[in-house]
Amino acid sequence: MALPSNLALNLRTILRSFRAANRFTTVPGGTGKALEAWILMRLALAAKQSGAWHVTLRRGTGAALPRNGVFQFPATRHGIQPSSSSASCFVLLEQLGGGIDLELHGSLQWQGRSEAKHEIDVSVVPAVIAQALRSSNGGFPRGLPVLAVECKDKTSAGTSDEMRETLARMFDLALVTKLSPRWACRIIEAESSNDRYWTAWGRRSPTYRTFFAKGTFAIARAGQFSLGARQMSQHYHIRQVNSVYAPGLAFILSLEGDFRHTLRSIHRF
Amino acid sequence: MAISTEVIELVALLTEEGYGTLAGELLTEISLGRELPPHFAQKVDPPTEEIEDEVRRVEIPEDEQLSFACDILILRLVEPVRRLAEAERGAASLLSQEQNRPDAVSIRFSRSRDDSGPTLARAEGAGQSETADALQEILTQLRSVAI
Repeated sequence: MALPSNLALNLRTILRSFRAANRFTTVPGGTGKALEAWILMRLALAAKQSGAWHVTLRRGTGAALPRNGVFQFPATRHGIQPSSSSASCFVLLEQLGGGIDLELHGSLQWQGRSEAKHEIDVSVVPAVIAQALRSSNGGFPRGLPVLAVECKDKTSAGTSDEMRETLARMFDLALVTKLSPRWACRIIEAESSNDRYWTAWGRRSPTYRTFFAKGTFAIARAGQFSLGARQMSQHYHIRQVNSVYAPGLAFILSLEGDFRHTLRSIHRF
Repeated sequence: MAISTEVIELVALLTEEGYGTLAGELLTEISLGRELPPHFAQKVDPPTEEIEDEVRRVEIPEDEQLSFACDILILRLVEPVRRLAEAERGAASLLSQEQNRPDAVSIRFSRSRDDSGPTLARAEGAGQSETADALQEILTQLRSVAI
């Protein structure tokens, strides 16, 4: 049986308007970027609503985004770019009463112990690290992020292999072994050839699980997860956020709660 | 598994209107079948139970395929645009200036300065999702026909 002709014609017309208004949806990965942007902003708002953080949108220079400004969300992977008005925007989280400042980024690449770079869809980096990179020639933060969320807008279920990929990334990032005898830390900026000039933040943990226990790590999917993936996620403290588009937003709310908990305990990092 | 005539027509329409990649994914998902809900099994005993890692799927009857396809299109097209519009509205409350805040901040997906390629900007106003609402409406009508 064919589609009713009037509905098919209407669908075609509406689809054309939709595509013209939202061209990013025709680009492979475009709708995934929309999911990343939504999760990033929801986490930023969750931090603001906690009452303990001053949260603002920032340009690539670090200056506040003006009221008529455009938030440039990166479409491709990148490190922290040198300070520039054309660099990607980010969200600055400033702890009220002074203390630790953090930055929330989209599609930021982190560099692992293997020297491989890993793109993380939504991640939090200490502002002192990002600022050190931004004020020089740019570069890649190293270490385990304060928050790392992988966003999957596919409707199919997440498999164990997907969880293994995430874990492999985290294993390479975690500074269980030090990059330099001088520095035992969680996150570091190590662009200079002389490690004396590196910028470090946080404490090193002796094991992977203790490293992963501090922070918010998650895979957020439009679909579900397989049971095999769930075992690894529970053992290594990776939250599974399934059905992110489901009415009621129960799963995204749980991720926000997890992030607020991480922010409350940031002084222990 | 046979693909229904309506779904084949829908796939062709999507391809003609610039959604070829999504059309291919739709055909794949329907051909593979509907996923069964994951087993929220009781705690299994690792030495004696084999954990099911495979995602189980069942064939989708032809008269249910169009409805299934519409559900996927809502998740893959409508919801991302709606959530992006929501992100744009939420971003407005994060502007440092407290007075005269706009209703929404436009979010654009831009290439890094070393890459070539266009900026993925929305032509629809920041915070708006009328085109997504219209697409949801027509897909809901299609689902009703299918059922």
